[in-house]
Amino acid sequence: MAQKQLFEQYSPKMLSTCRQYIKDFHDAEDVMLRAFMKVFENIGQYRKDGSFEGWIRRIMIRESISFLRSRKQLVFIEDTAQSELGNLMEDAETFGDYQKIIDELPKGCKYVFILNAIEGYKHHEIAELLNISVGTSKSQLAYAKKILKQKIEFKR
Amino acid sequence: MEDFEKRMKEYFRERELGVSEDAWSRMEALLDEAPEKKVRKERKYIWAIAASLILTIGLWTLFKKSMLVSPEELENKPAFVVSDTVKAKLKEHTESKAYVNSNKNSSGQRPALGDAPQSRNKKEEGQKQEKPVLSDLKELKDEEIAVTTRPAEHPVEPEAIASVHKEEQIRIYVNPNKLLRNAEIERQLDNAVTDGKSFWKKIKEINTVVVENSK
Repeated sequence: MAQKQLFEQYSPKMLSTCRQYIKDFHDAEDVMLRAFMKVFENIGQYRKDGSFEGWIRRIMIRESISFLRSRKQLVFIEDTAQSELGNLMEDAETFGDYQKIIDELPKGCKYVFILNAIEGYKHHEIAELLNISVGTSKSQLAYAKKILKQKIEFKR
Repeated sequence: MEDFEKRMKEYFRERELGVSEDAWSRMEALLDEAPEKKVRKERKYIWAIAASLILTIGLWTLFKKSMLVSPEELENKPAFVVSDTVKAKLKEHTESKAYVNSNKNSSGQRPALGDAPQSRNKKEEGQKQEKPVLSDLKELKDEEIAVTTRPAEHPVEPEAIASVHKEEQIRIYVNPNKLLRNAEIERQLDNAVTDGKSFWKKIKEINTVVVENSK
């Protein structure tokens, strides 16, 4: 069955993508399954100008963000929440665990950072996807980088 | 920092997470549910369309019914309704008229300013009882006519009127063939009745008409 073959081929990577945004593993898997449903339903709409994996990944990201929106987790905090930074430093014991570092980033700036630094989205694309302004996207990215920089220096 | 971001990117690009064992069976369950959902959605649309159609037809029939007037209703309906504004205007008119009449009927002298409202009020009541609204309307019309048919302050010169009349004159063009044919028929009829005695008389008449028109 072609659908099963496709699922087995891409599900480990797509689960990883969903897990970047969603902290709970089971929620991330549910979101991945729903996203795969959309992949199967709209497979005819795939244009061969980009990679097929990239197309599936975009569907996964959109589904993850709509899940976060439904759970009201798309909150963008200003660059003044120093208390959260303190907790992050205490928890970051294993520097190699990138997922843990990302998980501990404040909500909002975490999603902007993943979309920009890992997925390679531009600020206007992030703004459209998260329904925020380009300025907010930029400031949130700067905020995330500032936290990460402090974390790296602390480890050294 | 850039190095850190690069390594992080590579890590996430390469990372693969093992899905749970029942992941595919859950996926299959979702795939089986999908057509049912589609059918349910389609049914919803069909019901919505049917309901809107019924509603439209119902409203249309109600509208049509409300437009139809039974003969009894038509008989009971007044021929016309005098609106409140018209009534008010008529009242105002009768009041002023009554006031003028009262002044005329008095000894010929102008009444003192203080007397006017009282007499006006009395007359007003009298007028109100005496005349119905429609008779007032008739009076108003007469007055309007009288005003409109009043001779102009600057009389128009007769030459100007004559020039206007000249322009408005209707010109009649006669088809000579038709005229001759009619004349021929008449001549034949005359010949039959009077043995051709009045024929030349008629020809003369026609000839004068044609000459006048050609001018």
